[in-house]
Amino acid sequence: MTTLIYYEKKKLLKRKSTLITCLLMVLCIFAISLVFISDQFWFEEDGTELSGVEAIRAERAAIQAQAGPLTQERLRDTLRHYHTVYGDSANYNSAGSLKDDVYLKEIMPYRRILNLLVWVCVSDGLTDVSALNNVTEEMAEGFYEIRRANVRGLLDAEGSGETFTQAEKDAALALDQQVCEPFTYDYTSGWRTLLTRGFPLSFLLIALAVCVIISPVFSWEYQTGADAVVLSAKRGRSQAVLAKITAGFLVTSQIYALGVCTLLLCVLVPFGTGGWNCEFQLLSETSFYGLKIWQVILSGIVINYIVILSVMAFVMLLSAVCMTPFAAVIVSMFCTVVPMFFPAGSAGGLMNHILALLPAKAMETYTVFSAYMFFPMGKTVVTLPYMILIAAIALIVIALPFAHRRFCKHQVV
Amino acid sequence: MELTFDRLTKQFQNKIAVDRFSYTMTGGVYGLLGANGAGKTTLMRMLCTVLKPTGGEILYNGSTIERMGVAYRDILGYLPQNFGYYPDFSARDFMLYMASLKGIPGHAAKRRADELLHMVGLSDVAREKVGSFSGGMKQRLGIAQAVLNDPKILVLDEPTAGLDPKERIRFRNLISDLSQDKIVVLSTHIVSDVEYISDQIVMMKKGRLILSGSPAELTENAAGLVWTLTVPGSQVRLYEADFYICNLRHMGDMAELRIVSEEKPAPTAQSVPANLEDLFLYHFADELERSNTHPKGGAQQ
Repeated sequence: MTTLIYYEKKKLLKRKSTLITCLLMVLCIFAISLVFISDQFWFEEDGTELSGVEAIRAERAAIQAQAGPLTQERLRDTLRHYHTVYGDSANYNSAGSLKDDVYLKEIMPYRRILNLLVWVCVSDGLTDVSALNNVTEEMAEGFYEIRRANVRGLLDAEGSGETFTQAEKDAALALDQQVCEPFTYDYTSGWRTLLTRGFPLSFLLIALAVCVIISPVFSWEYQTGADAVVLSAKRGRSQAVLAKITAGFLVTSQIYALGVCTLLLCVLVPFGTGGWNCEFQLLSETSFYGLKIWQVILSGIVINYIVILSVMAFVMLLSAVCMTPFAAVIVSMFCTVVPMFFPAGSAGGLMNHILALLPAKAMETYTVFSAYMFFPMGKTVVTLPYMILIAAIALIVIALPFAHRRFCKHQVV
Repeated sequence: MELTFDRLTKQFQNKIAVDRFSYTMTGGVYGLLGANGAGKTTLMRMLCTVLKPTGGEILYNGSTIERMGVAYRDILGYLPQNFGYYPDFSARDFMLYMASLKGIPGHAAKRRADELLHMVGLSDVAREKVGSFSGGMKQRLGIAQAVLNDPKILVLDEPTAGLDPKERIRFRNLISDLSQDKIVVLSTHIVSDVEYISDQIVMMKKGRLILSGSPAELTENAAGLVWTLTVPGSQVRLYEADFYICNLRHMGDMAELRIVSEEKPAPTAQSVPANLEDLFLYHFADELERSNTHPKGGAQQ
């Protein structure tokens, strides 16, 4: 069996298309990481605009100087500082705007905390820091209560699309109880970039690479005419098929490891790993999952691995059905990519729930851990991350035996 | 050792590829002869369990091969018509992979693979990629993989197709060497390939068994069917229009014709002993005509 797995793996890895796909995947991840880095900017106190790695270094230094627990007092003091700066007429220029040097020195370093206050304490959808003019120090002190109330409000909201059952609300609130307070404040831009931009693009690239690399598993035998030799051999309909599936699993795991390692290296080397122990709510304030950022990242990597394995299982099924690897690649890529373009919310509740479980959406870890989506299973309420796991495992369990059966029953005509 | 085809039938939608084929094989080399589309490949695929019959069954020593499953495939060696190979594998890798598929354990597999690569004359290129091999080398590799498990039943579908005359002769000798204590089923539409190495010839036409026997028996039974005749060159066309001419030799103004006909084609014609090629032409001339879209006389291959 080991020999068979070795040769089945060799068949997949020795193909030129495999090497080209892996190279393209790594280059694309590297390229998008460069975009993430070049997008960063920061202003020094003297007004010098920094970008790229220099901006990352400067912002990290500024924020890490304030790292620590985000207590109610600290939030109040930050808001008080904001009000003081904005309340002093000497800080304004003749056009009535805050002077640049004042903004850069007094507001810019606190921008992330002020943003948190806006997102939590300003309820009318405003996102600009100037909205804090109407936020009182009492509200800042009650930051955590307001956040919890916002979560309850989102669960209770009616007429905005989805309504939640009492069981779903209870489940979400129970999870929200586990959110650590006060939050730990630190530089989290690397993790934010990773979750909001790196993960969706990179995992989609990995999924597409898996489509290309795994599609020949069975269909290559049909195309080359080796199917007759394989199927007429003693172990051609038993161990050989298992070896193909195992080889597919191993190759998929290798591609996944390559993609994830490339992404983590390309993002975390320039951004740094600081802030790994902060609450996920620093990035998504209304998320009700009581997880640290590193836990969300790890969960995302595990969930996406299972999702990628389900993509592999689906590709194997197509490979067993289609007569050429090309057909299997086209169909599997189409099925993987197209759900990305279905607009959320326009297709009704059930459709949204189904879409959320498909690879293109399921691999958006930030959205998965921010979304208010539940799946009732009997008396149990299953949250989106668990449901993605269940759906992916179900697809694997269904698709692989079908692929196995389809290849064994293949008729050489 | 007995392999029995019992009313074996395969139908593809409106076309019957194999039609109630019944025959029994014991040890030896069986040459399956027929024009293209006669059903040889379909029959062999059913024999190798890669195609399910629509009707009838194949029995090995009294047991249906379908029920024997793995036990049957364990004694089977198969070289398909379009032999599939993996271009990125070396010849040795391919042999070891096939050995693994056939359940041959590691050490024995290596020994057997090296032995067979030497036997088919590929030991010098054992570590080269199969993608760089010539057609003949690939076919030799194909037969080497087919006999890896020392099969009791060796099925070779058009093994000499695309080979040059030297390779074909080499291949025929190789098959003869490998045929000891086996049932070797060899299909071809090239008569000379089976004439010298087959113990029995099985002729198929439109999916049916039309003739079987040893080459000597078949040619003996065809006595009185083949004639030679010398005619002026200008009359050749007249004879081509009325008879199947299996050989034509110009000798100055005259031409010597070898004619296959149930009737004496001319008073001066002389009856000569038939060979397998004459017999093949006699049975398949109509089909050869259709596939070649030539007049009768063009069916000289």
